[in-house]
Amino acid sequence: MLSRRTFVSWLSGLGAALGLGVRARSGDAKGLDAVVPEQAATLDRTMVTRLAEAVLPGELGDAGVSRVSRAFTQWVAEYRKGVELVHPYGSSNLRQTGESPAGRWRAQFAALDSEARRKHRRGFGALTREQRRELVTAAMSADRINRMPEPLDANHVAMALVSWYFATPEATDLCYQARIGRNQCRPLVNAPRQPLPLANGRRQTGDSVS
Amino acid sequence: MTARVIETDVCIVGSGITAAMVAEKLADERNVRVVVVEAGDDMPPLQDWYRLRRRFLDYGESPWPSDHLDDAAVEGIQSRSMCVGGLAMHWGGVTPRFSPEDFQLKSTSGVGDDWPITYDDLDPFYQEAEERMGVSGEQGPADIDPRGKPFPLPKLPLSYNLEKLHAWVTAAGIPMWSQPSAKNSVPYRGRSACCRNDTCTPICPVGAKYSPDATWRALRTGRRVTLLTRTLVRRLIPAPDSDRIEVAQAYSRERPSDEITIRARTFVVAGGYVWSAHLLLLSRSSRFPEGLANRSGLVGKYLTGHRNVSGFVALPIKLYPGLNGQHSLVSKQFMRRPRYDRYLRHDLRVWESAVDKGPRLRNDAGALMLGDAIMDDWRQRTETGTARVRCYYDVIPARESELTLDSTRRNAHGDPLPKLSWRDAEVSRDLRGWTEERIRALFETLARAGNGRVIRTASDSFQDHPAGGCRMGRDASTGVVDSWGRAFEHRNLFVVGAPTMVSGSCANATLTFCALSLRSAAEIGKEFPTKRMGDGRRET
Repeated sequence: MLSRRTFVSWLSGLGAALGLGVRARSGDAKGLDAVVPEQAATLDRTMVTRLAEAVLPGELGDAGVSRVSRAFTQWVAEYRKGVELVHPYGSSNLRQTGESPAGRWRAQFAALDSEARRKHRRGFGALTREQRRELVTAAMSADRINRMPEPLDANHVAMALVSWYFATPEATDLCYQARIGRNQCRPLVNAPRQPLPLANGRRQTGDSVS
Repeated sequence: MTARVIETDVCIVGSGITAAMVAEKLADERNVRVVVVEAGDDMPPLQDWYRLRRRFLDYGESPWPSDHLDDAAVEGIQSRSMCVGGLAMHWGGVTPRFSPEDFQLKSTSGVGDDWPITYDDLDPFYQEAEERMGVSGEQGPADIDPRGKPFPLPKLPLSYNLEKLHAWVTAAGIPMWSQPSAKNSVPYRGRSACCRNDTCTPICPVGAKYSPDATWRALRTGRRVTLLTRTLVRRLIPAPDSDRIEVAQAYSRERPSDEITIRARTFVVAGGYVWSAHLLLLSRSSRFPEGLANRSGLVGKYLTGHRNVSGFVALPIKLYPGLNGQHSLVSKQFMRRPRYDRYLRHDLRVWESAVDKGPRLRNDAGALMLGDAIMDDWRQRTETGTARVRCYYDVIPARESELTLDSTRRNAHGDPLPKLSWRDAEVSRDLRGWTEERIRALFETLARAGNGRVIRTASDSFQDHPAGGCRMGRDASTGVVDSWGRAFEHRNLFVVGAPTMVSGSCANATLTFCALSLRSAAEIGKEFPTKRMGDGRRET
């Protein structure tokens, strides 16, 4: 648990560390109703799924990977630029979200596909899981960071997908094999109880990943 | 330019948490017309909060995007918030009381200054603030946590994690209990119970955490006060033949050329620690060249707060981070009992934490991990837990810890903006290193008691819960206002809440801001008729 000030600073710093996705405020920030998702800022869901199969835990299964891929694609599509970020407690700084990362990530998918064709004479999506993972590992290896980056800060779309998934309450529950349900509405009376184990080691069907 | 004139009994400048307390108490108990003037905007309605929270969680977007004025930036540390509800739209809802010692530092410890009131004077107003907001709390040991009546709501239950951590600190010999919080443990005053959404800061999506918009919503729905939004008070103007304040001169942000004149019997400045002193200084004139209530030169002086030392302790305990991460254990033991010859007071709080227990990209050998490898590594490292510990400690303010007018930076009206400079009194400067060393030693002691280790510690130079600038005193030579918040020089002018504090204690201060404001409201109300049954009086 971070301090309130650190916690909010951290959240407000989404994308700031590498100067991506965040810009200093200039002019009026957009309100909730004033901004529509940038539909152009989408990713190819099939490519995301092929990538997810290579970088996410196998215990998610095909259905889990498909669900996570859909949610990640939707998260990218619903990103909005020019929206004010939460401002840190005790700070006068105001910042807004910057450009969508979708364009940058689409280019990285194209590069993965190009590398797959050069090396294996097939597109990225047609490679085996191991072949895809090998290409992705090579693409990510230049990044020497140890900690999961904020997804919007990630230098590579594979890093973004990994860090996005592992930050979800679903991933936490899977790790602990328990129904913690972080950031979800849960009865206060149940707080003192040890979280129940996951049914069959998986979250229940229909649970959201975000 | 056109002019609009408003006549009322009480004019409150600002609509933050202390303004809400004053307005509600007056509306409940007195036959009085109240006009509240707020420079900022209304905040989104409760039904939008889940959607706003979702955007915050997913993208870091502010749930309160129009909560400040672009031309009201301040040099020095200041939280940006100027809106209906003020900074308490962001607060964490943590509501400890101060300790009796806080009000008598000079008498009991020889540092700082005594307040002109005691803890016992404030106890009934603490209680009233807790009842108005809905504070869920647990009585600590009576000798270190005195209070006149029980908490209005049952305590927030300790989570499984906090129960484990409670056993740990108990083994270390430190009494700790559930942190009192303005979060409903049961439904209260039309607001729902907490359901552990765990985003109290910056937004509780169900309104279980008290925020002032709830009070304004009720008061406005019942037409019990008039709240003018997007209206900036630039000056308070005394009557030509007396020291009484006659007029608040304001401007609508919609029509900046249109002056609004608000005439009232009583004026209440509730603009927090920045904008209250700022307004008094801005209201300077040929008769009051240093600003209102400032013949002593104390307006803007003695800005106060508290710093903290925090740390993370690795413990051989299986925890499940995320059960209710913003709730904590608290102890007031170190606020009361001197352990050393030198002055040292601090609180102690303990939270669950996921620090050092999160997923990572590289293993100990530095190799990149993906998929199952990340999950396996993460699982292996979560067999043990981490606790976060933090102590706020007293910082005695210097007179030169001050807010001044910055002639180099002006708002859209051309008025100089505030400039904040924080200075410790000599005693706090001298003790700072030793104080932080003692707190780190306490963390080490705690860690040893649990067979754990301190992962890291940090000191924050920021002074949290800032206050002061219009401190209360026994007379005009020691304060801007008396113990009721009444300006010594202007009998119908009150400053309420944070600015009136003499010192900032070593615990979250918002409840004390509210209790002081309610005490001021009791005094303000004496000039107006009491409501009788049938007058629309509403019991709280």
